[in-house]
Amino acid sequence: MDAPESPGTPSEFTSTDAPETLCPRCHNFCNEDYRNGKYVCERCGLVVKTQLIDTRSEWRTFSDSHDEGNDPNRVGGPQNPWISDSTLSTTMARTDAAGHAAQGFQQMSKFQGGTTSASDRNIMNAIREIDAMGAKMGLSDATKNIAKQCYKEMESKSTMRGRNIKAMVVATVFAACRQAHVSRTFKEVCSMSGVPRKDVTHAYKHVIRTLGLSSQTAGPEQYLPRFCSALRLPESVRQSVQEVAQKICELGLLGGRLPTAICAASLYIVVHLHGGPTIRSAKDIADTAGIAESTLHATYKEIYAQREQLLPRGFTAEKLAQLPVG
Amino acid sequence: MDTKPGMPFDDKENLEGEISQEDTWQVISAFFEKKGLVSQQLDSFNDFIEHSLHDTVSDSSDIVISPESQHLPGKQMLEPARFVVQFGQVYISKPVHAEESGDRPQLFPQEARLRNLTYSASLYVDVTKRTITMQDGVESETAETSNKVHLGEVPIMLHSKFCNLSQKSPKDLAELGECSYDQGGYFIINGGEKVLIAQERMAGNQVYVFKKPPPSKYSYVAEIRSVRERGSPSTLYVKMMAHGARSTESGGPPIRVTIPYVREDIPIVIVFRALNFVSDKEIIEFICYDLQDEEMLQLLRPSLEEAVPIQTRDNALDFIAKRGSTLGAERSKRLQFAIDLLQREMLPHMGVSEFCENKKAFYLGYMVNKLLRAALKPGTLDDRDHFANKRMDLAGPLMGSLFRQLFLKLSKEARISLQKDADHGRDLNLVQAIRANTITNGLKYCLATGNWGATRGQPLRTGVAQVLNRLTFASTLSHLRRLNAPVGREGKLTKPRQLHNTHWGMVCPSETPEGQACGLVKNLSLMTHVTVGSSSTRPLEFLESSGMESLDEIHPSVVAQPGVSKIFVNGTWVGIHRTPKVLVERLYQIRRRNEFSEEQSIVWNFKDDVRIFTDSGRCCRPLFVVKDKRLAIRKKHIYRLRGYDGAWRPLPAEQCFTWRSMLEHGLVEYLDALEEEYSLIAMTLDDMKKCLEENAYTDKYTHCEIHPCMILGVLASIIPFPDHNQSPRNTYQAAMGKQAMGVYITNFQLRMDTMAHVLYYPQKPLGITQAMRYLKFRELPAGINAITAVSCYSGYNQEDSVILNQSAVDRGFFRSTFFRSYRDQEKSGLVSEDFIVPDPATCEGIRRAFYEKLDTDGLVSPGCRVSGDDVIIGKTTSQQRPEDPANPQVRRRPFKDSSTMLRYSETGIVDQVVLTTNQDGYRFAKVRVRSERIPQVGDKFSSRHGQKGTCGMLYRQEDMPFTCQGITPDLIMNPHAIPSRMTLGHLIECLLSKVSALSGVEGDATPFTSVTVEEISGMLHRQGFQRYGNEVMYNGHTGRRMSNQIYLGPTFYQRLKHMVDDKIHSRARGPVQNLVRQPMEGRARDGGLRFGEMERDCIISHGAASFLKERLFEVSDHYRVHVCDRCGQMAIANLKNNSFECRQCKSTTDVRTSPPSPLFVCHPSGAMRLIISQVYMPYACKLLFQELMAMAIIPRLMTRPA
Repeated sequence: MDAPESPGTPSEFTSTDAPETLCPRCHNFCNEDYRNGKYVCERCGLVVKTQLIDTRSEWRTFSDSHDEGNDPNRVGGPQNPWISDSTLSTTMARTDAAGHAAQGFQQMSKFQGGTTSASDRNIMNAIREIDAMGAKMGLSDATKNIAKQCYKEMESKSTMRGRNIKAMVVATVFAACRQAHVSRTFKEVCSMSGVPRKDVTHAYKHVIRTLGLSSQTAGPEQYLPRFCSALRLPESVRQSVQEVAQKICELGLLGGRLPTAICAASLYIVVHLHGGPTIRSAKDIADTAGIAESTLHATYKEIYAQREQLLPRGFTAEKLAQLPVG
Repeated sequence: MDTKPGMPFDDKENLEGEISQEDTWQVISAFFEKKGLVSQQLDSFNDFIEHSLHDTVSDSSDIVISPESQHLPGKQMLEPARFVVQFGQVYISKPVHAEESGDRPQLFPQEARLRNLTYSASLYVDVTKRTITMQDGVESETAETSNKVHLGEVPIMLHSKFCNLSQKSPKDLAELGECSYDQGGYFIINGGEKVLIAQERMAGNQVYVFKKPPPSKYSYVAEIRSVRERGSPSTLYVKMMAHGARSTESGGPPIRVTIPYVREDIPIVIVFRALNFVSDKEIIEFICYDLQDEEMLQLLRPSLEEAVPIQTRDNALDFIAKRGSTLGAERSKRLQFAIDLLQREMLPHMGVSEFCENKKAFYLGYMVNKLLRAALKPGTLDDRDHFANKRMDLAGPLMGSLFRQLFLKLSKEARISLQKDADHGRDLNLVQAIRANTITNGLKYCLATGNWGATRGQPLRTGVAQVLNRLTFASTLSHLRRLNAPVGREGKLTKPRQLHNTHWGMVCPSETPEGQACGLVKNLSLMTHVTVGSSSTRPLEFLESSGMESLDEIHPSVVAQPGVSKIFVNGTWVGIHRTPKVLVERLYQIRRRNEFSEEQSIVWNFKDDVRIFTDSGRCCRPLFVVKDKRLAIRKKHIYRLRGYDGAWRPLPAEQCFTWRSMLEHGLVEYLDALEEEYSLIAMTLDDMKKCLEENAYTDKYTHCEIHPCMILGVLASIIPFPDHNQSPRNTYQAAMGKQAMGVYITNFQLRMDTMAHVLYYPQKPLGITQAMRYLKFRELPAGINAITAVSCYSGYNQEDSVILNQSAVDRGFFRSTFFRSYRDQEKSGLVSEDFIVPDPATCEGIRRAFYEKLDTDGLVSPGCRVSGDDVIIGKTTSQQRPEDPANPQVRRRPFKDSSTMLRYSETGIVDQVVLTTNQDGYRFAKVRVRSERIPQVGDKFSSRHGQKGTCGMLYRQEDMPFTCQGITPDLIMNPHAIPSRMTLGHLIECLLSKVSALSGVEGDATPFTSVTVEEISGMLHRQGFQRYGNEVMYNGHTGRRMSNQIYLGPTFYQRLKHMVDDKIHSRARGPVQNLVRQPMEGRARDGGLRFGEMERDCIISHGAASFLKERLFEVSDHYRVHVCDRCGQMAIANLKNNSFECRQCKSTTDVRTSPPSPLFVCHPSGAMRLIISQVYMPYACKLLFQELMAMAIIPRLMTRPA
């Protein structure tokens, strides 16, 4: 299952790299010749160093290996890259060797917990929050990492004092979604976290300002796959919806409207153009897009007049008669 | 086989006639058409999704939350309310992949494999929240239901009912990138295919009586692991003390019971008294049933005497409670504790509700009775290894138990979260409280690692999920049918490893690994069916309506009456019946009409025991039913099975027979290992015919084998004539068949397996077995019919090597393709990675390798020829590192090279490159490299009879021996491989293949048929060849006729995956290990060859000291240290500016005044004179000294100039 590790791949994220080897004669960078265990200057051919130490993992531990007591591991798991001081450390266990909770251990563990720096503790808590939120929202590791990085940066710039931490977490997640072009509405993010919208807006502005992020907004095209999927629309409908949404934007019809409202309006048009089993009620569409049904109707009314211009490919003008009157 | 409908007949006689041996193959085909080869996996998984999943959720207890009053200044006290959260209906989707964009397209396995996704479906549950508020002393309730809350993702078994592939036609499958021969039965976790290996365990709810060897306190022990249909097991032991261990007044050993949660063993009579059966007579009746049984009464006597001081129920309860966990409780509490204990924890399978005392007394009495009978008649002990006492946990039960644990964990977490909400006076947020990740990750973790059990830390079982073996198609099938017995591999006990009589037909007698897991890892026979299990309610209802008297209605003495049978359902004693024969007959009728379930087993020991089983995990197999000395199946059924009526007119589809209709008509039925014990099974159809004759051996057959060759498993079924081989040879072949190359699956071009071998011109064997039809071995074969000569010829085939025909190899004989896939992903986080061609100007750590083959996207392009150390995936990692203030002059470049190179020893052509995003949203690439492997000296080949060998020489056709027809062999094996190994099957296969090659008909090499060598050689003779396959041959080198005739003919040979090119290795200098700086180990890391202890001993005995020092020291971890002569510890040496320092005795050298030699340096101040010695020692030695120093032990090196 595992792809073979290629020879010479250095272990990932080594923080204690030796300074680079330079050729003593021509001061050129030397290349590693792994197989012969030496560093060779590419320019003059001088062997700079021999008997190189292999830095790759010495063994691979398989979880199903049975020979216990013969564990060659000398160190624990990987360091947590998000904590500032992630050198080797000692951790007090909460239980004794037999796995029973013991009073003294609990106290010592608690005491040790008190010695970790406040900022590290904050970051750890925030990371836990971000992971939980990300899981709920179906975000990938890549997006979650952006959120974590944002948070860490905010923390390092010590601008968190006196802020609503929970709101800040939500704001960083939202910012990360925007960065990664993952469409999630403000409303969704807020309702998912249970933090009032006002607080999140406030925190988001702060994040944008501090990190110098552009306050880009998501276009309707980013939301459409999700809405179509939620409404179980076939691929043919999806394409027409994309087209209609694009036309609306190009014609600048719904300038002041939310992208989700534009999505909803285009969906509404297209499902009626297709007719038959693809028809979805205005309520379903509005609920999926997270807008009020009245908003959908209002938006639809605005573009109803220009319906001829919005006709997607493959549809004739007669089909427009199928549209409900706005 | 496929006799075309030609002869018209419809005389009645023939339709009612006996079936022939040929016809049985129709029956077997019907079986495999219905069930395929992995039905045990699929059925079991379907049952998990359809039943266990729902049962687990609906059985879960409600989460009841009442807010704790909190001290919240400034906030009003909350009104007291109670919340009840209840899980309702469960829904499961089809497998989907949730893209980050929110799109949820249907997921198909091939995409999951390529993108390293998990093939899983979403699970949703309705959750009802009831709020119960108290207002003015009146409770009012409001309910609110959240529909379809996401509960988690459940990996879906391929081709199960819930898989997107189910019910797809071969054409659809091909369009989806699947192989139509692949039968599923495995999962896809993070792109890897995982099989759940069936786990063997002892059956629960059965009383086992064992004799204990002398050092034990007890002579006999009756034990039971009592399990409710849903619930945790509880173990109970009834033990008989050994003679002399502790005797009562009457001298005999008493009987004791071990009850859960009670520290001490309790005398048996006291337990009966605690169950409210006080008088001695009552108790004796429960145990002996018959008061006339003097022997048994005598054995019981010491136990009765032992319990004399405890005569009332309350005293007995108190006696038990005092030995339980009731420290310092008052008497009434103690009594209640004992009552609860007996009710809930003792024999829970007999009932855990109130008023089960009578039933439990009956059962306990039965256990003691069994124990005493065993003590009286030692032949009646139970056999731990009897296959009827075993159950297999397949994917369903395994996933079920895991899901239950995870669901409990999830609801525990949900409770904590909801409690917090309630305490803070917030609205209960169900969506946030139910953390779907618990189940998603829990299931994924177990399937990915094989560590079964949700409790982290100590996994219960390891190796439960394994990576599906894709070496050859048969090895995949075999892997899907594997059984594992979780017994310690080191155990000296051979009993559990041995082939037991009851394994007949259930477990393959040949296919088991050699070595440590021998006999513990087994494989299912071809027709074995593992029961899925059903509820016992329907058989119970039937029993109640057909004259069974329940235990509550009878007096114990009734049991001893003649003709009365005890009735057990899944081990639970439910009642008695006075005419068991009639009852059993009716039960058989019901089963043969397939009314309840064909899986039910009905066992009557012809005396006093009727046992009915409906539980899961029993192995059973189909057999022909015998009625009135004749098989129930007749010729007419065979016609309907073929889809014709008696006159060869095609029947409409609904009238055609299937396997199901065979069961419904009572023509075949499933028998499990226990029922087999009480059946008389004819081996062949001939035996059935014989039983109608006069002096027949017996005519009491109840069943007949469908075909004895069905006792073999997948890999043993590939062997031709296994019944002519020495048994271990079949075992060796079963192991080697898994390493043979062939076409392992038809969609291999679309797959990106880490490693794969595909044979160039695979051929179906000339000598086939009938079972191969179902294994698709003829469609996806793994070998070539090589013309084989058995001869020494030149001696280059000594010691199990073979000579190959170079000209044949040039024509493509046994060529193969080898695919290897490499993969990498662009990780992001604190550092970011990019697929790009690394630029030496910005990138450090560039290796001495060839980067030019990379395209601008950082990946090689398909069709590119690559060889060792060529970069195939270029990747850089950003360096996240503050400037080093200590030496600012060190130049740092912003990136680090982390490219992937082709393995050093391999070459090939880039076959396919995939660039996509994986589960974590990272960009992700797979590169497949293909290389052609031409047979060469050192490659490994084997026939199908455990006769493996490596290629010792390749001769061109003109150098090979030839016959008068000009035939030259493709392969020459050595005759010395035959006599001691006794693989006669090899020779018969050759003979049969020769006939079949000459006549153009497939040769039937199925075992246990009537084919004889005489017949085959007769056919060969008729083709104009020497009877026994020998031929006059001429030496290819000299052209002279050879003095002996040579055995020549086609034999099916396999190419095994071990090839010299993958093994060849040498090293002069190279990398060393980090810890000890000795050369690395293994070919992949260019390691050295170990000069081990035995080699060392050898050199010592030669007295070659200098050589020894060179091997062990100079070419290994040669190291120089500087030692302070004053304190004997290692000093710090700076050889560049010739300064030395000993921190331990605080002395240094001065650079200016130091003499040119670093040895014996004087310190100028005179106060501290540092004298340094330069010492050579192994680095491991230096490491040892430093490790000792870390333990506060100072090793001092006292030196003296040489």
